[in-house]
Formats: sequence, structure tokens, C-alpha cells
Amino acid sequence: MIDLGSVTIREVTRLLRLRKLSAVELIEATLRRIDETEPLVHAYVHVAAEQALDAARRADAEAPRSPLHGIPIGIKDVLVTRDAPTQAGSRLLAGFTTSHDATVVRRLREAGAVMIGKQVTHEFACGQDVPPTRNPWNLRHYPGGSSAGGGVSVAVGSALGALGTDAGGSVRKPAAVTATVGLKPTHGRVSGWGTIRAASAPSLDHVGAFTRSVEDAALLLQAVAGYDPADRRSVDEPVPNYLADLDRGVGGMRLGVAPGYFAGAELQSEIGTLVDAAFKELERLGATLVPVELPTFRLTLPAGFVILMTEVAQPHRRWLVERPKDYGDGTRRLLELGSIIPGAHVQAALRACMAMRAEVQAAFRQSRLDAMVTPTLPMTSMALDDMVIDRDLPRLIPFTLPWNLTGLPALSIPCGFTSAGLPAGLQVIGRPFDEPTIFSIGHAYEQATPWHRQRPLVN
Amino acid sequence: MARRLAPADVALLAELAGLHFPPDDLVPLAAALDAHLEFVAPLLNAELDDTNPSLTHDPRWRD
Repeated sequence: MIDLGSVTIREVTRLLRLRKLSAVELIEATLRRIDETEPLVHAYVHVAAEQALDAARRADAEAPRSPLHGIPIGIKDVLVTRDAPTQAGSRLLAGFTTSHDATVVRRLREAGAVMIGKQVTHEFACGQDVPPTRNPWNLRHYPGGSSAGGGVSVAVGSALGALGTDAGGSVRKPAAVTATVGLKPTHGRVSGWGTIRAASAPSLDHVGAFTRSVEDAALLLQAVAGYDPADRRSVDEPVPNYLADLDRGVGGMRLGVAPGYFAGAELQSEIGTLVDAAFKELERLGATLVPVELPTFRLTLPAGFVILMTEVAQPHRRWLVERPKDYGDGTRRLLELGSIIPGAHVQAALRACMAMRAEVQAAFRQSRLDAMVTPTLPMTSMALDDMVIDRDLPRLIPFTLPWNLTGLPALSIPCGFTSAGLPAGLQVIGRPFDEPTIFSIGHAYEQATPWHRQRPLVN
Repeated sequence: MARRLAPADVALLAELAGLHFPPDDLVPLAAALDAHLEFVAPLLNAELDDTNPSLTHDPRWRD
């Protein structure tokens, strides 16, 4: 019987191709794994058991369409699906269904993947409530948000991959605290059409992916990337073969680090030690670390929060007046605040955003960088009992949010564990549409270190 | 942090925005807006006069 606690998509694909495993057996094993783990980690809002088994039977009856053929993928509960409700963690959308799939869900199904269920998010992905999901590395700890269910399901093996959305770190944050791989592609690389608008800040939001290896992230991106005329943010750039350069290595690469920016954040000493060790490993593998200055990045948090709050608040105007009691208090107040932020703040934020893009572009060019590397988060997962969400959210995302403002692709990979056994993440940031380079860096690091193969013991 | 805004200020801002907030929210929102004003001060003081706002989001770099 397959052990879903440890395998990757690539490994399962091999078993499926060799007919040592059928798609139906794989989905049955996944449903058993969901039964085993859900009472502890609560990653799912809705498990689409019957639909998944039907899809698996169809997958077994036809030739493989892609490496994702028959693979169970979880979907964040803000991406619409034609055969399961989409509620965005909200009472306002209780029971909401549509007749169509989000573009990314449609593309996954076209690639033969199996939608296994809808996964937990914060209310409207705003991060102001504590979802029921728990971190499998310590069940008293925060699982990351807002794509909480995605990271946890991949960590425990109740999905082999998951799609989430990331407007400030909502894929990379759960990935870092669950020791999974989290990808936020370039803005416009993956269509966001079919994301619940009331749970999205469109200029910062990206559909991203959780996997257990960088190679799996490349496989998942291959299936969902590409121009979508239905999404005005989608960019018509050719989609490369993301596996072609995976083994390129990092020899001769120049990787930017920005010590001045990170000195301003509350970096936990253990995280600093783990990330320094990861930097040294990249140097040992042949990369050169290049210090760069990004002074405008000090505006990341105020600019990012102004844009996030004002964009996500707009579609809520009517509900805030007519159904205020159907929100959690924290979410409603965040949306109310976002509704009255002065236009002058928005203009300043949009200018800061443009200044940051110009600054990082100049840094890449002048320092001839192939990529940048940072910690994903400045700290480990916090104990939920100690957490004050509206106080702690800004403390978590100073290293993830800049890449939403600049639109650059960013990959979080596991880079070790603290003395308390909690995971840490290393973030690799690339040039626009240069996901192949961040995949090759992440893959080289993965091959040289054991962190991505460690799994939480949840049974 | 000195309190600068009163609940009535928030109610007025909401009215100007075409909204009406539950009375129980006005006190916490006044505090939240105070905190927000402090939070965005570096943004409002930044030298950005020569920078155009980002109105579209095509991430490709132009020469």
C-alpha cells in the first residue's frame, strides 16, 4: 500500500505509469489519509469523495494526459469549482455554488488531475480570524494563512499538491511553517479568473501552489501557467518547459541578499542561523552572494497594507451595510477600515509600489543577479494561544509582501528546523517570468539537504 | 500614541464614503484608524514626487 505520508507527485506518477498503482487506488488511499488526519489538522472544508473517485475511474480508463494524470490536488476555498461549493471561509457565502471552474481548476482537470476537495482559508482570505486548521508539526501552533489548508494537507499527505492564493504571503507563509514547497509565480503568469473577488486584492493576488518538492512545483506550474484572455491581469508570455533546466545547478549564479532591509525586521535568531546556513550551502554549491541595497523596501508594509485593505474592501460595501453581523468582528473591522482609507494614502502606496519595482529591477541589472534569497518568514510558527492576529500578521510578512508589490516570482523551500522542531523556509526570488531559474536554485538546494524529505508524524 | 480620532470622526468618514458602520464598531475603528495613520506616516513622508503611481500591473521590465 502506498505511503502518502512521504511520496512526491513525481514518484507517484512513476508508479501510475508502471501500473503498480491505479488512480482509483491512489484516490482511495488519499481519502483514507484524509480520514486519518482531518480530526487533528482540519485542512478541508469539503471533501469531494465521490467526484474524485469518478474522476479517478476516468483517469484509469484513458492514456496519461500529463504527469498530473490521476494526482489528487486540493483547492483553496476561494477558487470556484463546478462540483463543490466555494465559501471563502465566510457565512456570507454559505452554500455558494457556480456552474464553472476557475481557469486554474479547469486546466488541472484538463491535465488529468483529480480535485480532491476544497481547503480551509481565513474568512475572505483576510487573515483576521483563527481557522480550525492546525500545524501538523505542533498542533497548538499556527498553520500559516490564508491558504492554511493547502500547506497542511500537503505536509500530512492528504493531498499531493494544492492550489492557494497569495496576496502578501498566503502561500509561502503556510509553506514555510509546514516544511512544504510554496510557489508564488510572476504576476500574470497564472490566471486568477475564478477567484472569489471578495477574497482577493487583484493587483497583489497570485494563484500559487504547494508541493513536497521543487520538481513537483514545476510540474504543477506547467499545468496551470499560460495566458488567459478572461483575466485582464494575465500576460501573454510563452510558457517554457519548467523541467528543462531543473538540474542546471547554481554554479556561477549571483544571488542577491539585502542585509540592510532584513536588519529592520524582527528576525528570530534561530531563523537567522538556519537561513545563514542555507546561504552557505548555496555558496558551497557554487553560487556567489551579492549584497544589494533596497532602501525603498522600508515602505513595503505600509504600502502593501494600504493596497491590500482598500482593494479587498471594495466588493464588500453592500454587505457591510446590509449584513454586518454575518462577518467575524475582526474581518468586518478590517474591511470597514479599508473602506475609509483616504485616497492620498492609496496614491502614495501606488507610487511606493512603482518605486520598489524600479529599485529591484536596477539592483538585478547593476549587480547582474540571477535571483535573490531571503528568509521566507522572520520567525517560526507561533503558538495560537500567544497569537494576536492583527498585531502579529504584519510581523510575519515583511519578506513575502515585497514580491507581491513587485510581481516577481518567489519560491519558499524548507531550510531546517528550530530547536523546538518547527520548520523554517528559505525564499528564492527571480526576474519576471524566470521561474526556471528559481526552480533550478531550489532543486539544487533540495538535492544537497534533507529538509524537504522530513514529514510530520500525524496519525 | 495620542488618540486623535473620535468615534464621530469615523462615522463621518464612513458617511462620506457612502457607508454606515455598526455603532459598536466606531470606537475600535477610531483606534484602528489612529494606528493606521501612524503606520502609514513613512509612506506619506517618502520622497515619491517623481514616481508615477502603479496603475497597471504588467511585471515585465522595460529598458
